[in-house]
Formats: sequence, structure tokens, C-alpha cells
Amino acid sequence: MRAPLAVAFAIAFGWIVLAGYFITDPLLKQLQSVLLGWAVVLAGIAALVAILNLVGVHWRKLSRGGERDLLSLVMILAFIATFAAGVWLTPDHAQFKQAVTAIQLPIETSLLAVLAVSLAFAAVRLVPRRRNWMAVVFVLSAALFWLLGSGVLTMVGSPPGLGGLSGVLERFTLAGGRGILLGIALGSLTVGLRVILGQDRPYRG
Amino acid sequence: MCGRDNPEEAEICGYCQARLRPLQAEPPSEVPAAETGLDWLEDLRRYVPEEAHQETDEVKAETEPGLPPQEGAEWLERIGLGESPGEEGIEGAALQDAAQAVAAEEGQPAFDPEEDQPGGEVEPGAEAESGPAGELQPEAGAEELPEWLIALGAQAQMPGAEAAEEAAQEEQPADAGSEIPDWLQAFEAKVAAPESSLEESQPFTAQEPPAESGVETRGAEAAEMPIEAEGVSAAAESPDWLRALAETAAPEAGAAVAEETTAGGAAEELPAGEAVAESPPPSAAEEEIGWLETGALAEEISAAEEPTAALEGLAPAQLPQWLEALRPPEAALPSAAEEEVEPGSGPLAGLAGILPLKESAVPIRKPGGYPLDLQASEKQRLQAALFERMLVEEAQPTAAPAARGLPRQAWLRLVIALLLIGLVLAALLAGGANPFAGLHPAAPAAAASFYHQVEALPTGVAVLLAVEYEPGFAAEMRFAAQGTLERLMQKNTRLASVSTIPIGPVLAEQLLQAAHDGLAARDPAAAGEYALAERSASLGYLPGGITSLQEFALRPQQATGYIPSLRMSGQPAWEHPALKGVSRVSDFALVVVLTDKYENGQAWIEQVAPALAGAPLLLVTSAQAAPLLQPYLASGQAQGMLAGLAGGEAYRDLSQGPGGASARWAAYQFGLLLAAGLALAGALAEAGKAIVRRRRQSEGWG
Repeated sequence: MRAPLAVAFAIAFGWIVLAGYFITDPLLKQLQSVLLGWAVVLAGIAALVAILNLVGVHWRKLSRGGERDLLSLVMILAFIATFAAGVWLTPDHAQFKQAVTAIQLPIETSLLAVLAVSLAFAAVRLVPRRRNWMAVVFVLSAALFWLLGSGVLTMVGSPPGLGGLSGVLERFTLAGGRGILLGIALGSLTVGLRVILGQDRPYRG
Repeated sequence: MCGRDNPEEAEICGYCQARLRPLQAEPPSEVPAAETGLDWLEDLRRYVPEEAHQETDEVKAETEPGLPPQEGAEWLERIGLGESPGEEGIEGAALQDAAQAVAAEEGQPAFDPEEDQPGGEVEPGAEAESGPAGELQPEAGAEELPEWLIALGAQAQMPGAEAAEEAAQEEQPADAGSEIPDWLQAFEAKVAAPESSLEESQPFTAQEPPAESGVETRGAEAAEMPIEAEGVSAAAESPDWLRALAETAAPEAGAAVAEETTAGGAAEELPAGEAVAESPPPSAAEEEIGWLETGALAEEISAAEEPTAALEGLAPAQLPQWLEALRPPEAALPSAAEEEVEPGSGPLAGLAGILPLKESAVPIRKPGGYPLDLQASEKQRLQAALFERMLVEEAQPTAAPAARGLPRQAWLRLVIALLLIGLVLAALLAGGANPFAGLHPAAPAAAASFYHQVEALPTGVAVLLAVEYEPGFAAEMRFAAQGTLERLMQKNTRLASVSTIPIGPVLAEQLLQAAHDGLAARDPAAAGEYALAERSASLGYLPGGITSLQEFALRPQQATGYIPSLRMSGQPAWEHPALKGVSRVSDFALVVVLTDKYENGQAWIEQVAPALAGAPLLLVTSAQAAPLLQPYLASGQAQGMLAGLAGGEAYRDLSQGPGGASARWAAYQFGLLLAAGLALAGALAEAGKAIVRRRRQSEGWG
């Protein structure tokens, strides 16, 4: 009994929101706004549930017998401290913002720096590990884009054909990007229609 | 049966499980009567009163008036002893039926138990000698036993005879000595002629059961069993009609029967058997005489069956020459002497003319013991051992190799990291003083469009900033957007920030603060006039991703009303001075989306841009997201884009003029050049290795 009710609600709400995009009826717009508000609240609650689930996982890893993961203890303690500070100081507090950005921002930036080093190492090892023409073409094209992006080729003025080459490369990029986006759009449209028509029921749980 | 040697004391062959010693009792000549179990008969004879004997004789005389009293007593005593042999005779008849059935199916001569079983056939000449096992020796019995018991012993050797008597008595219980009626003689004369032609394939046709009741069938078969034994008495007392019948049937008998059967057997075909059943049992002396006479009769039959006599007038057939060539040589054909096997041991010991084992219809043997050892070659054994060793090694955990310093790749990785860090630090420390300073790629059309959209923006209007990037991309996004934000501050625009990323509002605040600091460094007057706290407002975080963007596009105040921090601070966001007069998304004069992923830019373009009512939407993206957002730029859904650090430098060049070199751009340049150089170096090194390897191979080094 629960599954048919959920399917009926999902399909009805989906059709209402979709109709709000095409029909400029005030009542329909109002109804669409209310439904979207509910969805946003539910999304926020879902994020909170996800956080609690994450804490539970680390709690189980910490409380299980045998090997205990002490990093889980660090995570739980950090979560409790941040949550308490956020509730007590509010997220708009300057010190609270500074404390968060002073930890999160350098960590994520360092990860990207390590990624840069790894990519450089992979560029060196690419051809020795894959001895084929595709690897050679990939390395040469990457080197060409790096040189073009650095602007050092402008040092020699405007070489004949360079502008045309840049235009061709941009066309390749544009064509590839547009093809990917069209594919994604068609896939999203298909999935959306299947959900609205009740053929796919990811909300059944 | 299998021909293999076995220990002398073994009773059963260890290979084929055949019995090596017969089950029949040992010849009575070697075993005393007390051990054979016949002593009780002697005791019984001794203690039975004479009146009882007379009574028995009288009863027999009454039941069989044709028999003399002495013969009737012997007949009765034979019945007393013949119960067990009679049963054996019945069993023998059943076996004979089964053998005939098998022979009929396979087209082979029927199995003759009288020929294969010792004692089943009584040769006239061999009877006096120590015959095969199971035959009682008359000499031994004559010395110790009375005459009537000797007769019993002789009858015990011939169980079929007694059964024949019983069957005959059942068929014609009375008037055994009477003359055969005329109708029976005529019937026998008719039957003898056609049956003789069938005897070649079915020599014992007369033994076929009449398909009536089982008792009668067994009785009739039992009557046929002791053909040779009864032949003695049959010849001795056979009437004239029987002799005439035998002489008439003899020329028409088959050759196979004449060769294999004895004289008595030849005479004891269907009419003879019936005659035996009708005639009274003879004495031993009379049997001897009758046997000899029957043997002479068989010789006459054999002589009459010679084909030359019958085919005298026919010319011999002439085979074609090619058929003669196909004919196997005479030496290759097995001779009759070779086929005749006389086993030296086993239950058939001493019997001549038996069928060889290889020609038996149903070879019966127990499969010998097969060896359990696997018959494998040496190569297979080696391969099996190798496979077993592989399995054992797979099951054993291998110890991790001891780390001996940094591996070669770790050293290479470390060198690359040090080169990158050193070059970037050197470029930052050197500032704009580098050989490549001032070299910028040509500003793309998207950057120029972006610049023109910002320049066309009126002073003091509300601008919405969508901060949609992660902290890891904060440096790239900050340098890409800093020039734009400084320009917007110079235009005294009101800036409102919103984000669908939880940490977005904090990054937006830092970004605005960094832009204000940059403006203060470049144009302190403009920075002084621009009060960041009053001219900028944060709308906070929008939970729900694309859904919240749709709601924000429809009702922005409701969508951002869930932000608790704004309410707890005591001042609703939409009442901030920076958002004065703004209640809808379309009230913003410009929307700038700062994103490091194309999905976020796509969501803003698809969900919010339609609600802007003509207000431009500009993109400031990371280098990785720019290629997938270019189609929206080309389609006009976005009016301008700055991609990464290069886009920021291009905007700076457009707004402030070329020639300005920044340390960060120099560090970015060095990093790109080093990456390109490493990739090319790796490819060239591998190409050099391949060339050297081929040269060595061509020179024969490798």
C-alpha cells in the first residue's frame, strides 16, 4: 500500500513542477513554489541525516572490538567541537569563519598541489608505460596546450598559422563539450520522463 | 576357467572366481559308504521287518501290475532315493531350456548339459572305469553294499532316468507293458520324418516343452535328460516297433547329431524317449547289452547320413577362380582337434570334446582387480608435480620485499616535486622580473565580452555573486575574479553573494575582502569610498542544489529565509542596505557565477538565467570547467566568461592595459613550461631507449 501511494505522490508532484515551467498560472506557480520549498527542507534534513550517519559509522568503528580506528575518534571530536561552536557562536561569527577556513582551505589546496605533482610525474612516465601512438599524441597535444596557455609562443610574434591552429583547437574543444552536454541533456530528459511516468521508481526505497 | 595358475588347495579361482573343485561328491570308490550318508539306508534295510518288504512289494504289484515284484521294489526304492536327484533333474532341465533359448537366439548349437556336466553322460566304455566326478563306482558298491543299494547308487547317478520314469508314469501310469496302440505308432512314424530335418539346427527338438502345464513340461524334459542312460534299457527291451522306427529315422537324421551323440543318444530321440517311458526299467546287465546294440544302431545311422550316398548322382560344384583365391588356406582354418579342449582342472576336468571357452555363448567372468595406481608417463608426473608445487606456493603468503631505500620512481617523483616547488617559489620571489614577463596569450572573445558587460554596467546597481567553488580552487578562482570584483567596487555596485555549497558564504566573504584589499593596494581612494560591509551582503547557503536554485529564481526571499545565521544576527538579509529595492532575481543588474565545476554553471544557466529578465549572466570558471561551459557561451545563454588564471590575466590586460606583470602569472607560466618539458623529456627518453634497444638487437648484442 505504501509503494503505490509514494508513486502517486511522486508522479503528481513531478507533473505539477513540470507544468509550472510552461504554464504561467498564478495558482500553479504558487503550488510549484510550495512544493519546491518542501523539497529544499527535505534536502536539508537529508544532509543532516547524512552527517549523523557519518558520525554513526565512525562511532561503530571506534567502539568495535579488536582494532580501533583512532582517526574516527579525532573525527567525532572535531565534529562535536565544530557543531558546538557553530551553535554557540553562529555560523556568521568571524572567528568561527576563520577557524573553518584556516583548516579546510589549506588542506584542500594542498591536495590540489599534490595532484599537480602527480600529473607532472604521470606526464613523464606516460610514454614509457604505454608505448603506443595514442600516448605519444596525448603527450604532444598536452605539451602544445601548455605552451599555448603559458603565452610564451607570443614571444615570437604571430607565427603564420598559429591563429588558425588556435581556432581549430577551440573548435575541437567546443564540439566535444557540446556533444557531451547534449548527451547529458538527453539522458536527463529520458530519466526525468521515466520517473514522472512511473517507469523508474528510485523513491521507492 | 581363466587358465591362470592357482594354489593347489584353492577351491575357487582367485582371478575369475570359478570353482576349481567340483561340487559333486567324490567317487564312492574312495569314500566309504558311511561317509556318503548311505549307511542309514543299510540300517533302514536291516531294521525294516520282512513283512514290511512284502507289503511294499504287494503294493507295488497292485499299482504296477506289469512289473515283477523285484523290479517294483527297486523302482520304489529308487523313488525314495531319487527325490534329490529328481530335483536336480528338473533343475537340469531348466538349465537346458535356458541354453536352448540362448542358442536359438544366437544361432549356435544348443548347450548340452549332458555333454558338459560330468556324469550327465554315461559312456558305455567309461562306466566301468573311474569315470568323471560324481559317478559312483559299481565295483566299490558291489563289495560293501547289497545289490539293491548298488542299483540305487547307479540310479542316483542318473537322476534324469528316475525323473523320466516319474514323467512316464504320470503320462501312462498303468499298463506300461501293454502294446502301443496303432494310432500312436502311426503318429510316431509321421513325426520322426519331419523332425529329423530340424535336428540339424535343433538337435533336441523332442525336448521342447509342449507348452502345457508346468508339471508336465518338467516331467517331459526330465524324461529326455537321461537319454544315454536310459538307452541301455531301451535297447535291451525295446520292442520291435522301436527298432523299426529307429532304423527308419536313422537315414534322415542330421550329421551333427550323428557325430556328437552317442549310440544311445541317437536312438533316444522323441520316439525313443516315449518308448523308454513306456517300457519297464531294465536291469544293469540288460542295460549293458542294450547300450551296445544302440551303439551299433548309431553307427548305422551315421553311415546312412554320409552325404556322398545321397548326393552320388550330383556333379561337384566348380567354384570360380577368384572365389577360390579368396578361400582361406586349409592350414589357417582351425581343425577339429584344435577346437576340442580337454581341461585339466575345474568342474569340466576329464571331459573331452567340450566347447572351448572362447566360443562360449555367454562369456562369464568376474572382472579382475584393476590396479589403483595411476598409469602416467614420466612427463605427466613431472607436470603434476609442478602443478602441485604451484598450488602450494599460491597458498603460502609471500613476504613483502624489504624496503631498501626509496625506489627509482619515488626518487623521480621527488625530483619533479622539488623542481615544481622551486620554480614557483622562484617566480613568486622574482615578481615580474623574468624573461617571460608580459607574455600573455591573446584575450579570448569570451573574456572580451565579459569585460564589455562589466564596463556597460551602471554605477551603484545590485550585482549577484554566486560563489560555487570548493576551497581547493579558492586560489585560482580568486585570481580569476579579483580583477572583475575590483572593477565592480570601483563602480560602487552593491554586491550580494549566495552559494549552494556550505562553505560558499565564507569563501565569498574572503573573496570580497581580498578584492577590496587589492583595490586598496591599487586604488586606495576607490577602496576608501567603497564600504565593504555596507555595500555587500551574504544571502547564505542554499540547501538542495538545483531545487533550491529553482526556488531562488522564483522567490529569492523565501529561498534564503531558512538561513538561521541571518535571522540570529538580528538583521534579515533582504533588509540589508546592499539589497535595498531587490526582491526578485530580476532586480539584479548582473549575475556573476564563480564555479569550479561545469555542473554548477550549468544549473545557474538553466534554472536562474531564465528568471533574470534580460540581465546578463557572466561566468568565472576554473580552467577545468571552461571547455564544457563554452557551448553555453556560444549559444548566448551566458554573455561572457573568464577561464582560470589566464582569463583573469586577460581581463586585467583589458581593464588596465598590457605590460603589467604579476608574480602569480609568472609562477603559473613556469609551472606550465616545466610540465611540458617533463612530458617531452619522458617521451624523448623512451624514444632514445627504443632506438638503442633496436640498434643493439640489430647488432646482435641482445
